Formats: sequence, structure tokens, C-alpha cells
Amino acid sequence: MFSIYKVSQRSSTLQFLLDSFHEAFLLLLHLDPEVFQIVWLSITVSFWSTIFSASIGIPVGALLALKDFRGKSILLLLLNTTMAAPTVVIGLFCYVLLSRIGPLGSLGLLFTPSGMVFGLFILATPIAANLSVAAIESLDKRLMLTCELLGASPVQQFWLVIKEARFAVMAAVVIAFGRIISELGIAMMLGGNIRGFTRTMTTAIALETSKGEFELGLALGFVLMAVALFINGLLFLVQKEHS
Amino acid sequence: MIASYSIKDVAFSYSYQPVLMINTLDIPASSVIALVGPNGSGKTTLLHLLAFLITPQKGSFSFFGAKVSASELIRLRRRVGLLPQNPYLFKCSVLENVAIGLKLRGFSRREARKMAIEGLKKVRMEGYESRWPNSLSGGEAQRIALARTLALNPEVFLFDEPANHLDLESVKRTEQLILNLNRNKKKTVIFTTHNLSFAQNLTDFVIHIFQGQVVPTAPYNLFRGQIQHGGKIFDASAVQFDISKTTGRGTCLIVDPTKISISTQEEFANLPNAFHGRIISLSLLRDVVKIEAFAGEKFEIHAPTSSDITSLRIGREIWLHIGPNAITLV
Amino acid sequence: MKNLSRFVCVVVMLLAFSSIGLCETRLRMSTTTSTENSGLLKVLLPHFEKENNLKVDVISVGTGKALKLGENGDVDVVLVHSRPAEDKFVSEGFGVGRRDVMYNDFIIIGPKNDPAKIKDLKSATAAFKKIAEAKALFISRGDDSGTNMKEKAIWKTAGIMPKGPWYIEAGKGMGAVLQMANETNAYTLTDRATFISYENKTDLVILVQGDKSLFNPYGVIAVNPKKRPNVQYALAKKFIDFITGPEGQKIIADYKLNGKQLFFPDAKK
Repeated sequence: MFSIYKVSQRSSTLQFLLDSFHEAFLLLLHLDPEVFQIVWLSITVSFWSTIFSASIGIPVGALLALKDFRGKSILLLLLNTTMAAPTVVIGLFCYVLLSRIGPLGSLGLLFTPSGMVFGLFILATPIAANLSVAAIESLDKRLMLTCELLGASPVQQFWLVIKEARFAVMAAVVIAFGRIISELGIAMMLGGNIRGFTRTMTTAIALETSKGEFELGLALGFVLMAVALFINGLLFLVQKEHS
Repeated sequence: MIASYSIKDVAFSYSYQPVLMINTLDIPASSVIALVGPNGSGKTTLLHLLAFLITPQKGSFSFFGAKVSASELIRLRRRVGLLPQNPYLFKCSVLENVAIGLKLRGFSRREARKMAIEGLKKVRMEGYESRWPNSLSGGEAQRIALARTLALNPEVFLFDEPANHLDLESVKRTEQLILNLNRNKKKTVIFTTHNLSFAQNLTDFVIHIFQGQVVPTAPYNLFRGQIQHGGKIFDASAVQFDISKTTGRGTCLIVDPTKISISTQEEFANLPNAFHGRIISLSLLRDVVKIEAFAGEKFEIHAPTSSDITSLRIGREIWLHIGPNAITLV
Repeated sequence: MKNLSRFVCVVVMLLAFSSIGLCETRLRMSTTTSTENSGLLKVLLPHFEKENNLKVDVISVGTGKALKLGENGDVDVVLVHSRPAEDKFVSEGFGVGRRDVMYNDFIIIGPKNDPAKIKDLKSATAAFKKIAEAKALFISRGDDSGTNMKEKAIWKTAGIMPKGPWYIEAGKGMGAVLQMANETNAYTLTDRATFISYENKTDLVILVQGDKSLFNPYGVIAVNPKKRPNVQYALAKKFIDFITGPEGQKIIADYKLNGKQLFFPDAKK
């Protein structure tokens, strides 16, 4: 009863690849509610993480670019390092923070979408800050003088500079979004890949792949690429309009 | 007479290198002033000081009778309008660009736009409202920046090199604009230039700046040219100076009149910076003698009156030697 | 530009509304990947969720991590299969009220040509010895999961310290290890449930089964509220009663994949 031998169903590797693609498209066409839910959660979580990291990262980046103070270069070095930190390390760090026995445990954020937003925020804020520093430092050197001679107060100047760097800053936000939505380690460790609650596109792809269900993995991969294409396309259009 | 600016014993330096040292400078209200001097003499720095973009490290500095204090800088900046030599336009529409300073001053969007349109009319750039700076020519951009300064209607206008790189027509128009601001609106106008004729046409008086200091007249023996031959020869079209013993970089060179040796006999033949020519004209100034000579090309030099000037005659041959320590590059 | 900002506004509002409705009662359970991958929970949990009007969040990780999450109070209840680790969890005071739920069994699978000649051996230990002697490729989970612990226990009984290029510690879940074994024609130890769900995708065959030492019992344990006061002990208790009660046991017995029963209920009254 237990001895089972299955003849390989793959006539060729190419056929296997084509079948996977075919199945993936069918899954998408049928708008499977579970797939839809996963995609929607991914987008929602990525959206909020991006909003939070941009609203902290951009002003911090602008301050770093505009102000001179002692230890600035060390801070920039640290920021660059955090940008290169593997996401599992950030995930682990956030897990320790958010776990019930951790310092933020009482918030009950672990294994919730909010917990993922928190971790992804930690991941993306240095990216947003770093790229904002680069965006602002590449601005015309005459800009600061022009702001001053027009009588801008420091606060007005701050906003004028960010506004002036807006296309590069927008690109920074899009890059941060791309990093967030394609991120796996943090989503897995802080979300827990809970079906119907914290399962995102990447964690679902990881799970489906581990189960050998390449079709669903591929289907979600396509959606992920499509979302990235859409966001980058928007940025492209905005930048094209004014260049 | 009300002084718009009053400066006494003011010094300003970037990291220990003094850039400006002004003993006294009073600028009457409703006057037109030109700041004249070679590149790097501190004209633009002085203009920035007058625009309250920098504050002097010492000395007393007042504006319309009130002492300039660091806490008031932003309010003071909003009373003057500085047009830089190479102005920057923001990445937004022309109308927004002109309105930006007004918005910073707290005018509502609508008021600011209305005043901006007025400003554009003054530089005859109507119809450019929705254009973006990257679609403008250099001259158009310059005029938009001028409109931005005019729209602010400040008490004092500060123009950095307004006649630079302009054709004759535009120079005329700029002169007209400056006169109009001064005569009809009683504004103080201060501009920098190295075009002395442009300065003299317009101004109530000219302020000569040299090495960060206000000097009574233009400095003597100023040669404009370029360093060539591996940084050893300074080529000022009429004459070439061997500057191997001097340091620093610059596009102007000044020769101290007191360190020039003159002779009417053949002399200094093998020395560097020895010149040989024929005298074309001679004029005796307060403390120096001005010699115009021809040595392939005409050149002019101020020499000390202590030399044996009685032997100098128009048409005579002349030999000059300039000691290496007489040369300063600026 | 205006249209774009309007579009962004609409998206923001939609997203804002969509995040409402996340606040309902949720019971958290950590379990092993094998339970989740078998598909049993997809059938079992909706009954419980409907009856009690709550959601069960399943975090599927290796047994070691599942128990660690319980220790930290990050979950309310654990469903795992490694008796020694479970007992340690209870004796250290992190878990209370452990109950047997069900069992399935481990099997040793490998390539059809069976280079180590272990087919139809009756003892898992003997099979492992032969694999080691033949230095035939063996893939270990290497992730401290229940399956991994079981595998190590068998090596220990066999008196072998598996080492060398033939012994690969993957550090991956059961599914991934099955795929690796399939791609490299290697032997591995797997739970039957996962293997059945993968059967269609693999050329590997069952070589050793039925040894008592391959018996794989699942236990359910509530996290001790005295140790971790934040846990929802009452809900966890309810869940344990459900899964070990007649309804849960019947669902387990009735669950079939590819026409085969995966789990055998064995909750003792």
C-alpha cells in the first residue's frame, strides 16, 4: 500500500517551464481570492512602510545634507552600513524588539501587518535618508545662496531644497518601495507568513517554492514585477514630463 | 543725507584669510554706486555683505541707521534684492520662479502671482509664465531672474555684474532700468562691474575695491592676462612677466611702482622681467609717473617719480626692470 | 500633475480603509511546516474559527523555533512533533496541558536505483548504517525541526556521527529538502504527510517504512499563562479541547490527500 513509484511527468525541461508559465497565467486570470488577498496585503504593507520611511528618511537626509556638525561623516558611514545590512539581520533585530519578552513586546506587533510595517520601515528609512542625501547634495550649488538671498527662513529653505530635489527624492521613494515590496526576510520573521493575514507575495513565493508549487510562485512573481513596473513607470512619466 | 549702509572697520574672512577689510564706507540712500575692481578683489563678497548673506566678524555695520544684528538677518534680506551674476532658477514654471520670493515674504498665492506677472511685464517676458527654466535661453533666464528681483520691490537693489556678457543693446536697456529705479522710485542701486565706462555713465560715485579693501582710485599697474608655460610666464598680451619666483594663481597681476627700475641706457639685458621700448606718452600723476611705451605692442606702466624722470622724453628708448618681489598675482 | 495627485489621494484613502477591520480576536499557533504543508489545517481550522468567531494565525516553522516562539510568549499554543523537546518545554514551565493529537510516521525515501541497498529493511537504524557505509548522498533538514531531531536520534542509535561530503545539512524546510533530494538523487528522512503531498512532483520512492522508531506523534501544548501573562490561555485551552475532541479527531481521520489518509488521530480521553 505504501510503495509508490511515480513516473516522471516531465517530458522535457522546456515543457516543464512552459507548463509553469501557463498555470501561472491561468491563476492570475481567474483572480483567485487568496492570490488577490496576498497581493493586496503586500501592496498595503509596502505602501505604509514606504510612507513612514519616506516621511522620516527624507527630512533626516535633508538635514544631513544641509547641516554641518561634528560626527556627520561617521553618521553617514553608519547610514551607509545599515543600507547594506542583510534583511534577516534587521528582521532578527526587530524580532527581538517586538517579541513578547522584548522591550516593545507589550504592543503586540509581532506577527501582524503592523509588525511588518515596523520592520520594513526600519529597513527602508536608511535607504530613503541616504538617497535623499545624495539627491540634495547633487543639487546646484547656487540653490542655497538663491534661497537665502530671496529671504527664506531656515525652515522655508529646508522645504525649498526638498522641493527642488523632488524628482530625485521621488526616485528614492520608489527605490525604497521596490526594496520593501521585494523583501523576504523581514516579512517572514515579523509577519510569520500567516495565511490570510500576513502572507505577502514574497513569503508566499518562498512557501510555494518550498512546497514545489512553482506555478503559484511564478504567478505571484509576475504580479510583483508588474507592481514594480507600474510604480517605476509612474516615476518615469513624472520625470519625463519635466526634463 | 541718509545713509542706506554705513560701514566702519568691518572685516570678514573665510577661515583666517581676510577677504574684506573696510575702514569706512557710507552709501547714501537713493544713490547709484558701482563697485569696480579686478576679479577676486572682493566685490562680490562686499555685495553679499550688503545683501546680509554674510555677517562681518568685526566692526560696525548698520542699515538705514539700525545696527545689523545676526538675529535680524532674514528680515533684512527681505528688504534688499540681490541679482547674482549667474542666477539660479528653480525647477518650476517661470511664473512660480518669479513669485517664489514673494511667497516667502508671506504674500498669498494670488497676490504673489499678480505681482509676478507685473515683474515679467517689466522685463518684457509676458507669455513665458508657464515655461520651465530648462526651455529658456541664457539671456531669457537672466531676464526672468531680473524680474524675480524687481517683483520683490526692495529698498536696495544689488546687481552683480549686470553688464557682463550682454550685447550693446542689452547694456543700454540695463542702464535705463537702473536709472529708472533710481530716478523714479528713489531706490538705492549698487552694482559691481569691471567695465569702468558703464560704471561712470550711471553712477553717483564709483568705489574701487582692491584686495578686499576700498581704495581711493584704481590700483596702478594692473595687468590682465593668463598664466602660461607651466605656470611660469604671465602673458598679458602686451608684455610677458616671468613669475617663477611668485606663488599663487590669478588672472591679474599688479606691479608695485616703487620697485621698478628705469633707465634710458641699455641695461638689465639678461635679467628676467626686463623690458625695452620707446616712450609714446608721459604724464606726471600725484606720486607716480605714467609712461606709455611701445614694445611691439603698446603698454602702460606707472613708475616711481623718484627715478631720474628728467631724462625721460617722448620718443626716447627706455629700459625697465621689475624686481621679482614687485609682482603680486590676484 | 493634478490628476496624478488626485490618483495618489484615492489610493491613500483606499489603503487607509483597508487597514480597518484587522482588529478581531486572533489565536496564535506555531506549528511545524509539515502540518501546514499537508493542508490539514486549511480544513481543520475553519470549523474551529466559525464556532468561536475568531481567527487562528498559523506560524509554521521548524519544531525548535515553534517551541521558542511559545517560550517567548509570541504564540498562545503550539502544535509540534518532537516528544523530548515538548517534554522539556513543559518541564521548564513554558507549556501546560500537553495532549496527544495524532500521529503519522516518518519514512526513508531515496532514488529508485537505491545505491545503498536499503529497500525493505525493517529497521531505520540498519538503513542509516548502510547509507553511511555506502557514503550515499543523504540530505538532512539541519534546521532543528522535529524531523531533524528524529533523524539525529536515529544516527545516535546507529552509533554514527554523520560527516563528510555525502551528508548535506540543508537548513531548509521539508519541501525544499524533498526537492533537493529529488534533484540530486539523494536519500532523506521525511514525514509521510509531506511526502504524499509531493508525490506527484518527485521521482523518489519510499524505501523504508513501518519501523516503530519512525512513529511520529503530534502534541498540542498551551503556553503557560503564569510564565507569559499576555497569552490567551482560555482560547488556547478551547483549541486544545477542539482538536482533541470528537469533532477535531474526526476531521483529522477524514482528511485525505491523493486518496490517502495522512494523519491518525490518537487523542486519549
